[in-house]
Amino acid sequence: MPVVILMVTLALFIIMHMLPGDPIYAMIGESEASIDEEAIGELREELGLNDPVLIQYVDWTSKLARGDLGRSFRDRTAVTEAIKDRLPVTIQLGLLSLFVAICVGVPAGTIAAVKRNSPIDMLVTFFAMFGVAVPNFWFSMMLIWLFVVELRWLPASGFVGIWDNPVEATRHMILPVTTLGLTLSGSIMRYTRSSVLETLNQDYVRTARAKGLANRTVVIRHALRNSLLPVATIIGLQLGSLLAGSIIIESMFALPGIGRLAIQSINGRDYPMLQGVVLLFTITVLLVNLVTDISYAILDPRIRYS
Amino acid sequence: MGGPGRTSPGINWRDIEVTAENYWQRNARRGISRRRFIGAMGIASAAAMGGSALACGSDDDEPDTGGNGGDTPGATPTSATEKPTRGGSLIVRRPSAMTFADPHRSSSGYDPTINHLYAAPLLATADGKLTASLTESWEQPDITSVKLTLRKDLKFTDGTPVNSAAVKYAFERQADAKLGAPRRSLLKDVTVETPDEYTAVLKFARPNPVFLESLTMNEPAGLGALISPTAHAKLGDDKFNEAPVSVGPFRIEKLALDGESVFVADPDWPLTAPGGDKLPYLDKVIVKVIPQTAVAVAELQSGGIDLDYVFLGENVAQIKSQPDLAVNVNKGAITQRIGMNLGKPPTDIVAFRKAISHALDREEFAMVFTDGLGEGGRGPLTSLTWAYDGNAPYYAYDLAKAKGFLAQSGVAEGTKLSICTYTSGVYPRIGEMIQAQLKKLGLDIQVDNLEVPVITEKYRKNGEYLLGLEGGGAPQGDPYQYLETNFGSANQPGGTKMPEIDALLAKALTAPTEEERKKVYGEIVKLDYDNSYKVWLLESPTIAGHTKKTRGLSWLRTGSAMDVTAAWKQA
Repeated sequence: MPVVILMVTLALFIIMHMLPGDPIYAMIGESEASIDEEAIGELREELGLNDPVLIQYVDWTSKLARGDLGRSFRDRTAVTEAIKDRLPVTIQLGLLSLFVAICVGVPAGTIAAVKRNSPIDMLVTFFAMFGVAVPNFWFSMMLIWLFVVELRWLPASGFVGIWDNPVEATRHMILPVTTLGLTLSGSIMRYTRSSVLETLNQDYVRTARAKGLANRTVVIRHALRNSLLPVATIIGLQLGSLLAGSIIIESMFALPGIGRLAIQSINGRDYPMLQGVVLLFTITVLLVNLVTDISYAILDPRIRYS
Repeated sequence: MGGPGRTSPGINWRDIEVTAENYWQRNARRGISRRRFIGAMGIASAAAMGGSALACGSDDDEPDTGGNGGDTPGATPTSATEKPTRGGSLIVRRPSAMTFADPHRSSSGYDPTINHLYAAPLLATADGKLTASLTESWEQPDITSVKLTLRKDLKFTDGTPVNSAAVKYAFERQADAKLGAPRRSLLKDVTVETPDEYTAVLKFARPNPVFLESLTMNEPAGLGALISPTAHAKLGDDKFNEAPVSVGPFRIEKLALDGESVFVADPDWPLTAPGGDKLPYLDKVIVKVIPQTAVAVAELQSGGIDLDYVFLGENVAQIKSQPDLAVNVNKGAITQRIGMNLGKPPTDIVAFRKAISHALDREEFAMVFTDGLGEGGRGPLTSLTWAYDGNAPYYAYDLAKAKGFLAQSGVAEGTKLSICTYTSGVYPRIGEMIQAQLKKLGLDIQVDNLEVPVITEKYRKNGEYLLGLEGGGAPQGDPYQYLETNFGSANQPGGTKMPEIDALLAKALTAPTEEERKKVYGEIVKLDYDNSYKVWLLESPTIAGHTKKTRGLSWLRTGSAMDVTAAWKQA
């Protein structure tokens, strides 16, 4: 894991430095005041930008080893503090969206498999394709038009802490979570359907039916559990989409989370902040992959890790 | 030399209105209301544009815009018969996160949120005048000094007095290289003397009659803002940014740089409305960061926000379609122009630059990009500054003349050039229209939409682009800084030297009166016309949308934001 993290962060470090756009100019902004060359030189020296890229990277990793992610170029805040402040927003959005995606995707996929080639299957398939094909920024705008502009039921922007005001917190999260959750649920639905279909054709399912078990028992207790292994893999892999989706969704719904921080860091060429965000994303993806691997053993007792 | 008037010939606007009305009547019979149609179309198109903006990594932040004016067709100012209601809160949208709540560190040309919190010694009014704010009086005994006499009834929000020591502290802090204040260069050769507790005398090593403008909260924003020296010394730079201690009409209740900030009325604020009413009327101003304009429109329509002053022309119809909302237009607040690298061929050839100037139909730009609310650009100065001369010559659209100048320049038809522009707002589309119009001249233009730091590096600093689409606040008050930024050697793309302009700018600094400076600025405008240094494309408005119940709003002189100090909400 540490090797992967180092490789990812090194690759990002090099790519960021290859991008056009000096971070100093991002800091100055486009204020029409004169560019003060003397101030720029001093700032560049202070931020260590005059050092070769590899030296800057070594400096960053040595600080990382001490738990210090550095300070933002943009506003000089500690990167760890900025991430800590914004992490709860993204965790809340991510977990709730994943929950919605699973709650919608797995049952709908199962129903579609059981009712194969029926109108219900076609409806579910259409919904799944819609979720996969529709960009979430467009879907979010349609939801905003319906629930904010026309019905006026929900707010379109902002974040309220769950402990500050649980009702308002819920109202503010409904649209972002629905957008991200439903767009993610499409692929979960498709994989669940094909996996359950495959399982339903297995001999042991036929045996279970021959034993006279109720259809619901056969599907839920025998077929579904065995079908979930590939679905668990897909859910694990969806984390990448979830993180990418959070960048869009947080910008659309003005949620001050890690995704927005990433956008701001890229636009502002804020190298330390972006390194911190990418490090967090990398660790998260690696950990989720690990959890997914472990979940195989729980879902399928035949799998044992030695 | 002049061009046609500002109204496009050959268009009967009355006919267009009648046609549009018939169109809506037809659709209404089919069960589609105008409001619903505009709403849905606006949202759908905004969604598509928002998506592309997101794909480009844009935070939907407009480039720095300022401006001026006071033209308010939305009729938000309080009328003589209206009695302002006290209390209530106003929710205002902010399009991007605030980086610094510390005015001395903010790199924004102008920051509306900071303006709500901090006051400066002087106040720039919409009519171009300077008035007292934190001062009782001020005087400029000569062009190398300014004397400020501060009010004696002011306190920072930590209870410490606003005095001459605070003025000295603010300027010396920003002049210190360690802070990295973005406007440090303006404080070179400025010293502050404090003969008594409420008198501060600013001394300039070189003549600087235009420095007065910097003592307001307008551009360059924040330079004149005062902070509590006691609080800053105690907290340090970083902590102060999290909990700034200011003096102004509002104080902080909650500060979230990328979220929702709440400002409450400062009960000790001594400045009053013209009628003597205590200000502010509102109890609270809530500033919400909403990056996407389409979402902000939806929030305004649903009552989630009361005011947003960074709309585009394309949002106007959508806002106007709702009866309880109003649009407030601040005409001519922004200028958009094409800058050129004057040191590289072919943009170093005057005839070539004149060819481009004549080849662009500015009225078409105004119709398309400002929804008819703006005007074609004529020159660097607009009617918003006292230095404007309405009789100054300007370039009019004349393709035949443009082709003549192109032939004279020796530049072949089919020559390829690149223009850089911003990724956000209307800029990419303006770039495309420039491309289309210059194609008629025979030039093959490539439009590159770039992020701000890339433009600064590749266009302004390195001069890699020969053409750059620029935008910013129109000049107001004394246009010295605006002219220096646009024409001075220090800011030319690629570092081209402009000795004639520099000499005139230096001459302006030795001219003690407005009349004398106006003559010098006129010479700069003439030089620009003769050499076509820039192509002045558009005078765009800033556009606010707000609930009709929100009254007493006025445009700040920067033109990019509205002042809410005298705002109130109808019951």
